[in-house]
Amino acid sequence: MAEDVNVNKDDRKKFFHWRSTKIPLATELSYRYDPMEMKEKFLPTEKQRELYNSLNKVFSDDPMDKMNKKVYKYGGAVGQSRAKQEFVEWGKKLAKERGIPSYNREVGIPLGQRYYEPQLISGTDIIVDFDDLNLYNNPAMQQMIDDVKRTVIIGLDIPHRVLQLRVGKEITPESMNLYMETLQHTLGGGAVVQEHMAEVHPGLTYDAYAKILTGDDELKEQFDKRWVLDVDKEFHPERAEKLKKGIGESLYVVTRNPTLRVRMADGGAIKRGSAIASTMAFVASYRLTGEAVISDFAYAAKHAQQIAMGEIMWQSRSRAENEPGGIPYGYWADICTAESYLEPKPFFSAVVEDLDEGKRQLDAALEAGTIAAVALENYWLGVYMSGGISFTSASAVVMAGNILDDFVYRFAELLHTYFKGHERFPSKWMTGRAITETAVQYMMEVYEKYPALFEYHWGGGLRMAVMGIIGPALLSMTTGDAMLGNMLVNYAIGLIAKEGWVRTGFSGQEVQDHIGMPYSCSLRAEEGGLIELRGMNTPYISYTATHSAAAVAQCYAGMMGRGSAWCTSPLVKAAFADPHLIFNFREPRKEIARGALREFEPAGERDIVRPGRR
Amino acid sequence: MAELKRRRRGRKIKKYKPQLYPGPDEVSERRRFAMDASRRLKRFRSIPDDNLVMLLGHRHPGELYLSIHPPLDELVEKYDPVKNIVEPTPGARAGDRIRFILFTDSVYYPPMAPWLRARAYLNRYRGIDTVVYSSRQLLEMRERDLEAVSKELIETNLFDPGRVAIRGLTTHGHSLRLDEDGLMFDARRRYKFDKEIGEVVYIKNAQAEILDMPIPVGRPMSEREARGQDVTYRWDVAPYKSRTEIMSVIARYGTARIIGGYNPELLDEIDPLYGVRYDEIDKIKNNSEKYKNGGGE
Repeated sequence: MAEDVNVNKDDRKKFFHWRSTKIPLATELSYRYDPMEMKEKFLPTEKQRELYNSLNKVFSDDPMDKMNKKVYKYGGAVGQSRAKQEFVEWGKKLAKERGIPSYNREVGIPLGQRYYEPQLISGTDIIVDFDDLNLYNNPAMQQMIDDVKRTVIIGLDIPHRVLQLRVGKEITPESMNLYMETLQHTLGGGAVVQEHMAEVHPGLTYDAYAKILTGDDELKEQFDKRWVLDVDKEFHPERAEKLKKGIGESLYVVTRNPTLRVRMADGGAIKRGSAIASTMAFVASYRLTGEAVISDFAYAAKHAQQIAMGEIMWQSRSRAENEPGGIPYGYWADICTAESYLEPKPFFSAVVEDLDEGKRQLDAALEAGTIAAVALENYWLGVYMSGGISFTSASAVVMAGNILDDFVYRFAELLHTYFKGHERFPSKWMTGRAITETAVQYMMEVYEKYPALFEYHWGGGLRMAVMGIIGPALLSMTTGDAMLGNMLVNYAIGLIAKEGWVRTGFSGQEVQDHIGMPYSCSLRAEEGGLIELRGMNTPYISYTATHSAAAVAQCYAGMMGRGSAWCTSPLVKAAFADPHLIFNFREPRKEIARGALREFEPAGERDIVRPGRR
Repeated sequence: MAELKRRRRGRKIKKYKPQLYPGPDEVSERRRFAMDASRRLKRFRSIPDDNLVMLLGHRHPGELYLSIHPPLDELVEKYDPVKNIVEPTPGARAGDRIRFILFTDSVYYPPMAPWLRARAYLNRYRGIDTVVYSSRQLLEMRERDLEAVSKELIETNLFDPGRVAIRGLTTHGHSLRLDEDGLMFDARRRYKFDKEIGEVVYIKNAQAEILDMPIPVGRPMSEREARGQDVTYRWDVAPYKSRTEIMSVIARYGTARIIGGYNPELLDEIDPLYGVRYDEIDKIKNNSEKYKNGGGE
């Protein structure tokens, strides 16, 4: 039937029926043809797309062919993957050495009957094995979370006030610098008060340090530059001004506990570790004695102004502070600093004026999505909540194959071409709905057009993650309204995509899309709250993977859309632009690629105290 | 709903008839067909009962059904009016254990898809439990009821041997490219295309246990035939973006859920399709009438 229409060109007239208005109305017949038969006509255009080239590179095949004649004949995963070959060798070696079998590819289902595709890290030319993106195999991903978990920010204004008013000490530039020098010593495990103490080998805790953070330039000048986190240096001048205004004249110290502590204990230990290290530094540098006022001071120094990255979680997920599940979405958006050197211009006006600038902003948003996907999908849901080996595919969707990049660039081109002269995009449900419908339908069509992409994102949850990130997050980016994006995630997944294909993601994936759409935009605490302050700790956020990256992407996109310098906290934003961090939060995808290539050097190793290393 | 009642005033409303699904096109019609219990499914092939039992792999052909409780007729239970109202299915009456069948539907022109399965099952069958995944759909029933329903599901137009598969475990493969015979990928290799008889033949049961003899389940549809049975909107069959009726229903549904979720009474005042108040719509309509008749005042 479809073929008949194409063959007989006269029948093309039937595509339209004409009314007196002379406006052609599409009939059902208009759509009963197979566009793939006209493939040759649009293929040259398709070949220019980033998506086509990436899929071609990854699959070494025509990505638009829906038949794969080589399937079942690839020779297994071991034949296709260097990593798997290494695993098999290690499995044999371990079995011999310890006498108990280990990794054994002979048990379970044979892998690699289909094409075991490598992963092209988006925004780079680096192709890595899929196994190298597994959280356990990638030290960069682990370090990323460790760097977040080991960070605690402590306000110094209240301790200084207590020192002045209650203890009667004078706060001077010298005393503050002495405190900072002492703090570098105590954070790493050095003793300051007790005369007879076993201490920690500084080589094990080389990554422990503290830095001063303030928005007041005069105050900053009073500190030794070695321990100042200079916002002016780390951000675009306009962005730095905004951040400094946000931080204000208060004085904060950003403490980084040693990674080894994270590896040995949990986020709760980090919170206490920072508190005790800071208190001991105060005690030593100000020569405090054991009088009663010290208990007041201890509270002031330890807890009064302490900002942990994450809150304690509720009972069934019970974790201490600073664990990934308790970190709000808005903080995750602040933790990504990919935008730090970009001008803080609202995305809509930026992209309308300059397409490249718009694309750079979109790249930054994808970097934020990568951080969220690794932290929340791989780490939180894939390890903490499920006890598994992490959901590698869920984060690969965001960071690999240039897929999202292609989608968002198209959107940027659309805005640049058709919205010239417009100053703002109304943040209304009706406009958002229309844009989301268009974006989701477009993405669905791309999946249908590229069977290789369907295979690449082989699980429904993965595809729904793309729908949930792209449509709504782009809208947040355009309007600057993260909440609108959150409403539209549900609309995109639970309604538009679902009715098109009559399928969505894996079981229960739509749970949070169907609990009631008012929840997504409710500000009442028991129903949801501000999206930036929600997180994996929000009770209605189920254990469902592939949703959290979308939520973080919206927060980040909202920030970029407003032209803001930070999303939820200027302190967190500034803290993660620190060049001394082991993981570079400006370029997470590149760092993860380095991890996959085994070029990333993580902290927290015990090599110094291993046999024969002294 | 006072506003709606006012708008309907004077209009004679006939007896309620469920519309099941919006849209004037063929795909919508296929969806309506699958969901409508009053319409008989088209029988395309025939599977002998014993073959079906072997394919499901829950019991051997001829084996008695295992029961989890005595037959209902023999049970002395407390009086419960609901039990008098709801007639038990044959499996429930006999006390059968609950078993399952799981279908995986390919993304390439499938005659059924997971959410549609759920809607069809719930409309057509009694005594079921169903779970929707992205590629597969689980149907749980009492064993003898399940066999009867499975037979209908496999023998009729809701099944395509090439693009729908019966799988109990390792169910993925729905979004992978088709193999050289046009069959959906199966990591357990439960079936293959028998070129001699031109049919898809199961060599393993749903649980991927090797069968004593191969079971043919019929000829796979050609791509052209499959397009004629496709229940999904695709860019090369029926593009989704041109489905204005479905999109407007979805829009109405989404907006109504938000507005009604806050306050159901707001739906009296706000039109969920446009998200604006009815009186504003009237105003816009009046204005447009005015312009049609030669502009403003």
